Amino acid sequence: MTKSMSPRAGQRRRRRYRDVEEGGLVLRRFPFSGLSKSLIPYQGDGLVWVCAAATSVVLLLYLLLLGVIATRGLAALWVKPVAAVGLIDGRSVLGHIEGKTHDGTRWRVFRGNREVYGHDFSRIDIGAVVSVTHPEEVIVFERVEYGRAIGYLRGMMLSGSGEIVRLDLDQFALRHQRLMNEENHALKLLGTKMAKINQRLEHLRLKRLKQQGHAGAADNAVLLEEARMRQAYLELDRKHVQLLNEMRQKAAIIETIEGRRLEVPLSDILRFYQPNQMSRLDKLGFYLVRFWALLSENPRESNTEGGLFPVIFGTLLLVLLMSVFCVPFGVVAAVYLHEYAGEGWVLNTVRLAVHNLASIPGIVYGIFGLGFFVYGVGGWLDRSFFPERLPIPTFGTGGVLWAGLTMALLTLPVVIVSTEEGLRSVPRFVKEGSLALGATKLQTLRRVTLPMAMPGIMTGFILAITRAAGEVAPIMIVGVVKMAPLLPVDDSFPILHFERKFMHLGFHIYDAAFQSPNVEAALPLAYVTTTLLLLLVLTMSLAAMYFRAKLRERFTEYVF
Amino acid sequence: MVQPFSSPMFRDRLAARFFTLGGVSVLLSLVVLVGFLFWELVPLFQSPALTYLGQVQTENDAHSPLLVGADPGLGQVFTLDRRGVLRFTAFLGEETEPTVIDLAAQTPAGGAGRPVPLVHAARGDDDLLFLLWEDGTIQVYRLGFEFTQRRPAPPRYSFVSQRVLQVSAEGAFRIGDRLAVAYTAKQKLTVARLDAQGGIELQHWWLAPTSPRSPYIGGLEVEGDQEVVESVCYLLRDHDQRAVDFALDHQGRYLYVAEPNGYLSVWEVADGRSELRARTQASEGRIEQMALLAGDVSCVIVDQMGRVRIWNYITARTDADRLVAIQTTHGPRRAGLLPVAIPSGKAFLTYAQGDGLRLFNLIGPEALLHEAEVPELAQLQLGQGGTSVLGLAPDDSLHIWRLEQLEKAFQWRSLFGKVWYEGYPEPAWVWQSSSAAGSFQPKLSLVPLIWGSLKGAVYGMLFSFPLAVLCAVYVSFLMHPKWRLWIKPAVELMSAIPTVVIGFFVAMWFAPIVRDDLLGLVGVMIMFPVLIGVALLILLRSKRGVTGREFLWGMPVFFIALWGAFQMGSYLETHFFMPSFSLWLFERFELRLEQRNSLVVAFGLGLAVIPLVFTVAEDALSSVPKSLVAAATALGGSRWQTLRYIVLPRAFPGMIVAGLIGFGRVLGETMIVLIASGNTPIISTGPLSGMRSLAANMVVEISEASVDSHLYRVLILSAVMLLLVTFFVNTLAALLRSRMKRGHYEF
Repeated sequence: MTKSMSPRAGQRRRRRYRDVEEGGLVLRRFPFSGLSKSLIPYQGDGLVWVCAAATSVVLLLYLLLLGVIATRGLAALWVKPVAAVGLIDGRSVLGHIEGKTHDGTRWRVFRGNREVYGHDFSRIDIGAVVSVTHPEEVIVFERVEYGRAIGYLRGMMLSGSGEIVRLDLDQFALRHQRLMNEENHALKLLGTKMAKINQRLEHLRLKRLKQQGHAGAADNAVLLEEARMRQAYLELDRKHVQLLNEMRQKAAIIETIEGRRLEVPLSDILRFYQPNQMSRLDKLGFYLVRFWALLSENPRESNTEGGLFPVIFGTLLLVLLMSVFCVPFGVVAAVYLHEYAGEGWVLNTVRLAVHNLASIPGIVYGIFGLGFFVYGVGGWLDRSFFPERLPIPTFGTGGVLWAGLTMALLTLPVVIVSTEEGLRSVPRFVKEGSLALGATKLQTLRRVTLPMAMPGIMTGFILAITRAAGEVAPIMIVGVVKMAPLLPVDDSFPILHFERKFMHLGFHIYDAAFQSPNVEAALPLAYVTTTLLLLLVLTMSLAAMYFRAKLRERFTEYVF
Repeated sequence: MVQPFSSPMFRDRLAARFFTLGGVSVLLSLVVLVGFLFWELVPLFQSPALTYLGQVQTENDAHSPLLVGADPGLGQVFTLDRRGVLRFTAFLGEETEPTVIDLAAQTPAGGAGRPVPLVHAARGDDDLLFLLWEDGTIQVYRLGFEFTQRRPAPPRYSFVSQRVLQVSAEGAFRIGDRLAVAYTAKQKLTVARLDAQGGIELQHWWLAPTSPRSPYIGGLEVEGDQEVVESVCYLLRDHDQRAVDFALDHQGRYLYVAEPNGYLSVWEVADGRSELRARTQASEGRIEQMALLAGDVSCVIVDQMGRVRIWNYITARTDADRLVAIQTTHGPRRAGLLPVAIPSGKAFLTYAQGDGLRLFNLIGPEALLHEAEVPELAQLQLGQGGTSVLGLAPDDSLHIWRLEQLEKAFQWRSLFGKVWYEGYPEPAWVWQSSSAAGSFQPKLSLVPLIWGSLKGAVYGMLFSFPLAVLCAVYVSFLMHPKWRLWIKPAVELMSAIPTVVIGFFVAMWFAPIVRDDLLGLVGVMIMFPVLIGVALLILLRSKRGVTGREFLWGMPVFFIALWGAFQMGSYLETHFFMPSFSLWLFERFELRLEQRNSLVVAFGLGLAVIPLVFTVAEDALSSVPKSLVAAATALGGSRWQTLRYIVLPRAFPGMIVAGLIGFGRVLGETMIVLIASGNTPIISTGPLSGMRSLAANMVVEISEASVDSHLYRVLILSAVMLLLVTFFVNTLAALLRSRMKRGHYEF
């Protein structure tokens, strides 16, 4: 076969052979080596390109993840224009055009007015669209109930008589403002009073039950007070209903594009705006208003709308509780392991075990938390201290305290490991210098070792926070809920109610996106929550990385 | 002046104590964590208990009692004899005067002063008592023990009984007939009679409430308010064989008939006709006894040799109806074996003279317990709720056992073995912890869950491991240092992304792509390498200085590949795979594309684990001594040669470690699998089907599991399994890692 080859082919073959010789025999094993060899002077660069390709895929995947979530999350609060879409059959549809459906033949339009249409979104055939206009005078109302209303303001009803007063938007805004300020305030005041009495009633009920359990009959004074409180409550309740009725009689008349009139009580209207008249700057301002509302308001409409205040509060409280339990203990354990425990195989085994515990799945900690804290300790507390409330559990059910403790256990290994890392990074001679100068071990620890290991402790602390904020599976079984009516901290005795359930950013995402009855409407909020959580967690991690880098840098000069 | 409390030495000693105590207790708390899980596991390994409580002498009449019973607390026991006298005797409860109720006086004949003997008495669901008198009168009583409890006093039961129906049959019953009754309140009463000649006669009464009164208006309905609308009496048709025994299910729908030649047949008798549904040779010998287990699906057959076999009548939609033997128990082969079904669970007791009592369930052929020391018994019956076993000796003394923890019976086979469940055509591994049906057989096989965990982990690692390791190789060794300074921490930072976020992203963004554009996705996987090759040729020919920045060129290529592949995908789909690729897949390969499938899970798990694998692999690569790299480069090795022959062999254990750590992580990952897998506990290897993992299963089921239930313990077992496996994998990884690092010290 070699004999029948043309001279040129023979030459080429010889050249390749020589190349291989240059590179060493082993090169033949690689499929790419021949290819790249003939092209650039570096042998085996083809496989370098495979690595490069993998790197670009990895980077792009994460860019995509962050990009998709950030754009959708940030865009969710931005004011979108309202389009009036005219169809072939003469009907028109008013709403935000949210984009095309997958097959590209239809538009998804957010129409709002849930009480009229039944759902928020509808799909319209692009082929049937005749015109798209952006009417200036369209108003979007954000409401307490039924989501947003989109339509035209046709007037206002001032009393139950049904008489409609025509007024322009400025006048309407003024009246709305006044109502929100004065009457809503009165209502809130009344509500607070009622809640107080209610709590007192519950307290009295439990007291009575306790007395009945012990002595067989309740104290007369308790019964009397209970009756008086109930009377007071009924009185307030009547006032409340009256005030509410008065307020609800003042309603905005909103006309939908089909000409249907909606009566929306002024007290139900949170905000309103004319998106087609707003400039970029207006929109930016409104974006900030909405962002503030997101941080400060309560969720509405089963977590599909409204703010995230209790969610953020719950997350922060969980993180705080977790830190209180885990950081001091973690640091003490690490100091013990590094400074006081005797070296040997026992210590090595313990260290290895602690390292490994850091990578045990969170759900295992969750199961432990449920069995040990909730059913074990909580059940015991209930039986010994709150028997009058049984069978309704007080501590024997998931709560923020148990979630905090579970999370503390989960993050304890992380804190121990990174604190030890910090302690280890303190050069020996620094410590020995301190001891040689006559300082005791404690003094060395307090004045030299711990301050120098501080970045390590900070790293552990922040990593623990990151983990506690991001881990959802364990808290799902020890106390997080979709909707917590009461915050774990409020002004009623004893201020801190750690037995209460709480809400959490991570669980909120899961709930809104996968458990919600109205997923399509809940998705924008889910993206916002996801963005917030990502922002929180990534910032924290960046800080941890910064501290760790500082730790590495700081003592390099001592190391040879 | 001595100041003991402020002296530095004292403080130092105090601090040493404090740190030692604190450190040890913190470490102990972690030990407690692991120990507690194991401790919680202990009650899982329990077996049912049968405790002998004692005996009671019943009133000795001419005949031994037809029926015996006891209340759930075993406060009193009762006997019912042929004269229709119901007699209560205190057992564990307070000693009271024995209550005697003459039920015969409440029959029409008894009221007229001509009492007739009772032919048959039987217990039904909800503590119904069926009485069949010789003159054809049939009575249904509700025999109840009212539970009265006032804390903190112990629970007390008091007896109540109420007649809910009385009808009279066509023809009289004779002593010696075998009878069976099925009753559904306000709907139907069925009585089947097997006479001495072996013929079977059936009678139905259709019932209706006397007044169509809503239970919401006018308070509670009185149970006895029902009248007979229609009744029918007929013989079992086409039944030429003489029957030996029969069993009627609780709805009066199916009749199981045993024939002397060992055949078992199933007849549908629901609507006044009889129709043979299935017939099979159930035993080599004559069938002696039969019993229907709770739920009426399983029929226990005992033949003359004492073999016990459980048959299921399976109505399959695709197949013909048939009878299958799901189990043959390993019991004593003794004649005269007596089976008794336990109403509260899928289990039964057998009694044979000289062998004693054995308890079986449907999971395995072995007896759950065996009580050999049993006196000779003539009858074996169960107390109310199936919590007690009552054996009537020939001398009319009643022996009583308490039966406990039946539903908590631990069997390895039920967790890991293939079990032939009721109504299944073959043995299978199934996880189905609860169902809407009342009498349900829990199926708690961990195999589908382990399978799901492993499948997710393997698919996830298949996707992420090569990417992460190649990326690590590039970043650590090939990338320009200026870029590495930013890229390495950036990728490591990604490990902080909460898994719920990844799950959300994957379900919202990636799952629709898989669902709608699977072809495009496959196209990307093919096109990207090809395009990279093409780009390589173009770029390398131009000899551009791209060293260390190759990955930047990969990015636009990736986007072109994405765009091109999806274009091509939609073109192919519209031209070759009408109407859709997923339908084509299903028709051609029977691959059903599920909305939540393993591809989506693998993608999510991959995203979660890439930073971890990357970090560990990168660490291994950069811990290879620089002197070796320098030497290789000095000897003229190209980048790839140095990497392949110097760095990679030394970092290879590190790659294994990275793989192990990554594997341990994805195995226990919960949220992504929970969100993206669909949580269907099936065993299939296909990438387009879903699964349920051990970890996700815990979240799904733990809220359903009451404390101390069997399910709760099984979930703890799965937590412990997960703990042990991840602990083992991580220990292995740590040991490998330290060995590798030790190997580098020589340089």
